[in-house]
Amino acid sequence: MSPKIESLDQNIAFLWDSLYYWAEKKLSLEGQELLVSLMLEPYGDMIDDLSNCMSADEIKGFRINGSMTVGRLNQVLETIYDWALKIDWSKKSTNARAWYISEEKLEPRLGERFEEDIADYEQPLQPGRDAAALSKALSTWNDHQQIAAFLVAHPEHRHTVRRIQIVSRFEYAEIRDNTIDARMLPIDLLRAKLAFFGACHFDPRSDRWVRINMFKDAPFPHELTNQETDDWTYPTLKPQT
Amino acid sequence: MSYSLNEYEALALRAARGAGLSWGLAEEAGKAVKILSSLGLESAQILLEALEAPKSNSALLLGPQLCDAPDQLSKTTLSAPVHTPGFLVAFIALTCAATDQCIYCKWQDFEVYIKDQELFAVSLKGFNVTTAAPLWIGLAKAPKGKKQIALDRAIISDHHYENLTALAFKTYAPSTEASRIAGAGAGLNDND
Repeated sequence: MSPKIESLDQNIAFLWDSLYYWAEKKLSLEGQELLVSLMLEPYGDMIDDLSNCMSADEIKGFRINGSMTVGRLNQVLETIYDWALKIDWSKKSTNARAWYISEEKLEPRLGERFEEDIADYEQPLQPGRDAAALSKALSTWNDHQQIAAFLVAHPEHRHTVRRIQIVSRFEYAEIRDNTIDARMLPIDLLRAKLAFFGACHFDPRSDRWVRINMFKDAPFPHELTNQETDDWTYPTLKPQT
Repeated sequence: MSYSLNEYEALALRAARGAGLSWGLAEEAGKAVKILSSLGLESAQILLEALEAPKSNSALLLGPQLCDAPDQLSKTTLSAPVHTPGFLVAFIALTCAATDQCIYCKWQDFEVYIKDQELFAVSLKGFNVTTAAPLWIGLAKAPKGKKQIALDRAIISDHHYENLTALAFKTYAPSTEASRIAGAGAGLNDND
């Protein structure tokens, strides 16, 4: 990235734009992310308040809009979960895993549905399969009927209906892939979630768990006043040998 | 002891699921106790009553139904007895949050107004009753009564906490030798 920036013609129109398109072609995903972070950095007045947008008033968005018609819900479902409706959920391989909470760990874990006794304890963490099941249940209802009536008859689909209505308003609210497929590797999910906690330095230990550092290279309290502390989250360059 | 509202929400969700509610209704039970706490109302006792043997007239089932179709809340009388009616307050608050309305709720010697995620009480006696009938719910122009102080922690007695934890425990898979070997992080030494 350095040579590119040094040789950059700063007089061209849409300089950042051209740099970003160059990065898409030439840099790894991590490199692109780093460049985007650097490009945002000079514009504090435009971005500093954005971190406040990363929390949500969950109470406001929680209520199910029961006046939505079955037809409209179907339409939204087919748009957002088109990928899930194409999956054959009767196959063992598409259903191979189950997320559950173990007595021992008290946190969600991923197990093998057909090899362990965990199916009865499954958490609702397979939105694709649940959306496909909802779609099937809705197929016997008329388009003009209200979802409120459907949910009185089928409370088992409430969590999915709520999820679909939320995702219809917030594009990034859903994982658009099969979270229980035999070939699913949760490593990217783990990384995304942990990044929100402030984790850095990801060190995968297997395909099911990743070791991380929190606050790697962060200054100690006594260092805060006498050193430049803005850049500590960036990886440290190792001296070239 | 006191617990964070998020912790109480998660415990109530798991306890409700352990008691046999669907995931969606369990999510709503969790959100309901969080809202009640934030409105200044302690709910562990009625939560346990509602979950001991979930009934078809439980406010944990009726509340979400009312909330789904909020037109019903503009003026309605529930003449049949409602079990643990205190939860209706949470579901009315959920509706108010989405519709910016002021809604009242009354039964026996209980009368409250809810607006902007705040609770105004004429009388809170009767919040904890096991059943009530009839109940009146409707739109109000402005709240009446004393504004309640919001709580940012949930107060739960040790006895109630133990009982809720026991229900939540039913949702946890017992550990087996197989899960210890196959599960995430299993069979690997983290001390290298």
